[in-house]
Amino acid sequence: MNQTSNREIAESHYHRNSATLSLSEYIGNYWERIRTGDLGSFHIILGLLVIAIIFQTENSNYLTPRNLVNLIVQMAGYTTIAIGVVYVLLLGEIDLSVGYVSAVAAVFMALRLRPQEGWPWYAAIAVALAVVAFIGIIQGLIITRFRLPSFVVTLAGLLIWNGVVLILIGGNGTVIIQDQIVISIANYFLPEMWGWAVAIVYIAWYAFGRINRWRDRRQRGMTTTPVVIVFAQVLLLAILTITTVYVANIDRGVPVVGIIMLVMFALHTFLAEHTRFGRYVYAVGGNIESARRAGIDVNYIRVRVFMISSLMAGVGGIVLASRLRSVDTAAGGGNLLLNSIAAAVIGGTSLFGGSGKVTSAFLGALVITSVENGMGLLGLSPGVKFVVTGLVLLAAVLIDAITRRGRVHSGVA
Amino acid sequence: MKRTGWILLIFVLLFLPIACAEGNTNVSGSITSQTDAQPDVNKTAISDAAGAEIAVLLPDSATSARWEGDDRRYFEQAFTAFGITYSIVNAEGDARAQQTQAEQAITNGAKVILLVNLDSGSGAAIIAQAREAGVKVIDYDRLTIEGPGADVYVSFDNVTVGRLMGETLTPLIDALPVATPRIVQLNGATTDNNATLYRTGYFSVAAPRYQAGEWELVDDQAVPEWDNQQALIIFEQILTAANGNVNAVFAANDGIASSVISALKSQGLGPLPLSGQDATAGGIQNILAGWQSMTVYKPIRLEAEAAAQAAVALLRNEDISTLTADTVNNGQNDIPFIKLTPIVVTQDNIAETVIADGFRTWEEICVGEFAQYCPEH
Repeated sequence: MNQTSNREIAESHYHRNSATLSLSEYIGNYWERIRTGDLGSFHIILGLLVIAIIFQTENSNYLTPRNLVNLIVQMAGYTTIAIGVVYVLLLGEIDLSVGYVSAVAAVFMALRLRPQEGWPWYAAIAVALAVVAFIGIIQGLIITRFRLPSFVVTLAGLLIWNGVVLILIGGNGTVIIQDQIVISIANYFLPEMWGWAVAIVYIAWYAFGRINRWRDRRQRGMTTTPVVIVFAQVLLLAILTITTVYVANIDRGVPVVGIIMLVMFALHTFLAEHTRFGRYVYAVGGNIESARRAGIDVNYIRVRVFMISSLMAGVGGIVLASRLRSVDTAAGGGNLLLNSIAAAVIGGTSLFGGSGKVTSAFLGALVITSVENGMGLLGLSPGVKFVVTGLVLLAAVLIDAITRRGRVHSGVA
Repeated sequence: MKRTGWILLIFVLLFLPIACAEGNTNVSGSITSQTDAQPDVNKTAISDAAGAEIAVLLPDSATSARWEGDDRRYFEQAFTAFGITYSIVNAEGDARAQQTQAEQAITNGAKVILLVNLDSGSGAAIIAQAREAGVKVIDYDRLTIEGPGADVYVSFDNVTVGRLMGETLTPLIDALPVATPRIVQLNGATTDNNATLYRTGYFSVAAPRYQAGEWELVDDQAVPEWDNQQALIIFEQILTAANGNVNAVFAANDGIASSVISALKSQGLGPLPLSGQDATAGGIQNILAGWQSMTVYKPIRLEAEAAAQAAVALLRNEDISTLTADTVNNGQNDIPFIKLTPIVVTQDNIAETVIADGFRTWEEICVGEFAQYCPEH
């Protein structure tokens, strides 16, 4: 279930039966949630501010238009893969194969795009995604049919798909991508006017959705947030969007991959929070036995989740390949797996299942990439980079564990 | 009954890749013209794993395609020609796996180990174990700089590789229409001693110019694990820190060079003097298109043949000094060094070098947009 609405329903029983909360009540509730350990995105935004201040004082090029655009492009791969990881974590499971599954998609696409094969870009991408979706289904089926821990099955997957990548690339070492459309996924920047058009559509879409939901809840006699807050939320998003587009336009413009990220984000927020499937995922993750007794086909949901995880990894792999304009034998390795899972966790998706949002993939990837990006500007040694990234991840899981304990103590969890 | 079915299915799935893999080697054998007796060679390699006189320990297959793609088949050819039993194994990046492989080789009665170490520490441990058992070790391509060192070192002179990069780029950098060209050095993995040597090479050319104030060193960074995705981020951030004001890049290999090119293109910047190494198909394509200035070509066949020859000499207890007079100091001892000379490839000599050797073909390079840059062939 959507956490916020769930809580709003619950609160309506505590306080009174309907109508809009007053501003002071709303702020009181918000503070109560933070106090009992439901931090939402509060600590992440705080963390991002701290990161920005530290790096900006160390290197004045951190908060520049060029670096903002860099940041959007650099975070795209992690965000996309992390969205899939969020679903898996919601179930309280793990998918260790996402790194190399992403590479499988990239290699499949790159091989089909070679001039001697001559596939059109959409066919190559479609086949690559179909392949990884199939991989996800197989892994999911093995996990559910044989009641194996997902950690072991996807660990085997990690090895298998790494091997498949090596076999597919073979002696070439690198497969160069020449298809201009595929390259433009991560390397094309929208002209100024188009950037603004996208911003307007996005703000309008958000405002419309937000206001609609408010009216809907009010008509049904449910508790609603104060009108002021609704307007403040819309205004905040508008300011953020307009600033981003304005700053990006000073540099190369809004990257296409930024738009793709927003679309993925919107689609998955809808899927996770406004569809029956999404609610079932939260239910299974919260308590698998009660979900089963409530008549949910638990295994079907789990297989679907592993399919989504592989599919999003595949999309991420294609984005990464487009950025590098090639796929090499090291694709999917390095710190890709760790960073993608870390992104979901840092963003606030619980490792214990049942709690988290698609937003967390986005925010967590922003944190990870900001740190990576800033350390690159400072020219720190690889050793320092590993230590810092590890500490950020450790801080995130500690916060997760502590807030979880807080929720248990105050009886919310 | 149902359970047996599942177990059968699992076994079929397990053996399917192995069956496929064997098919695969034959395919690669038929593509490369030099391998005439490929299937037979394969059989020797498999059947003689136990009781092999020479054991080749390869490092991985992910960071470079050469080990499985080239070295393996050249060793197979050379040892078959000598009529010597051998085994070739790959540690897939795991230093402990390599140690186990060395122990197994010694147990199986190997007399000579051809080692490509994963790092100097584990390399030294393997050498110590081998020496205890009276087994000779050849450091192949990578020098073990810890411990007493191997019996022979066979490699391209890696400092020369770096120096060639420096020397080829120098006239290009001096011809740039800027007063003080701003240079970036993107080095290989810090755990790889060769990366240090490459850097020593180009730095030896560039350092006097930096000191004289003629060139400016903007940044000098290592790429962890030679990972191209990380190289991309590192270079983007260097460009950002420098406000796009970079005039030339010493990139340690073609993969890192391709990351540099990708970053330049997506930031709307033009080509600049840029080095590379390994003569990969991608590197040659970038050279043809004018985005990369040069690559260093190290004919792997020569290196493998020299190593095979040294291994046979050690096996027959011949004096290694007849093969080379050079030595290299690994920190403790002077080690006989069979030194091979790398070749610079630029737009002007692609046909005479990598193509003439059969290392690359025009067919694999001249595809799609690159065809327009290719000479008639």
